[in-house]
Amino acid sequence: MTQGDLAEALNVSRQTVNALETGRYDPSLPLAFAIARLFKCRIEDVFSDRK
Amino acid sequence: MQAAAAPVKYAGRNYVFECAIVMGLYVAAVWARPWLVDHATSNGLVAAAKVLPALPIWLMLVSIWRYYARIDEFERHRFLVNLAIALGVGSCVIVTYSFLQDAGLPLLAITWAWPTLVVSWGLTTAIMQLADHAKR
Repeated sequence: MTQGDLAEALNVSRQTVNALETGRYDPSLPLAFAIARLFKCRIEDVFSDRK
Repeated sequence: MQAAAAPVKYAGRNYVFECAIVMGLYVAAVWARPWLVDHATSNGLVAAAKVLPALPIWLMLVSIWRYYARIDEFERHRFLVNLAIALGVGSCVIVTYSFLQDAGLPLLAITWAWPTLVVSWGLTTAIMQLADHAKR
């Protein structure tokens, strides 16, 4: 799946997907849930606490 | 923040389209203004003709708001950060120039404040995008 495909599936821009992937942006809870739903996994499997 | 229902990828294209229409209206209003002022038959109509070019500026605000409503949460975040920086820098430029007028620089009308802020916003957005590209 390309960044463009993921952006299309989530209805966000490709820049947003890039910012999420490179850790430059932390998504809101609704977007995080949408990403987890898309990949059929839990939020904790996609995002981790970097502290 | 919930993702917008309309496709985000068309937000920029729609904004440019709406901006072009609004700018066209602005140019037409500025062009027609002298003729309308000359041919106005009452003080009320003269005032309405004189203020006419301000109407598309308000429409521009609507267009910007519609763009903001269409973009996703990350773009909104960047939009607001850029706007905050641009307002701060633009305000400082305006205040600095107002003092420089006392030092002999040409007196400018207050209508220059709007384009100053718009240019400040444009430059801030360009610089922030370049910085964003460098981080990728």
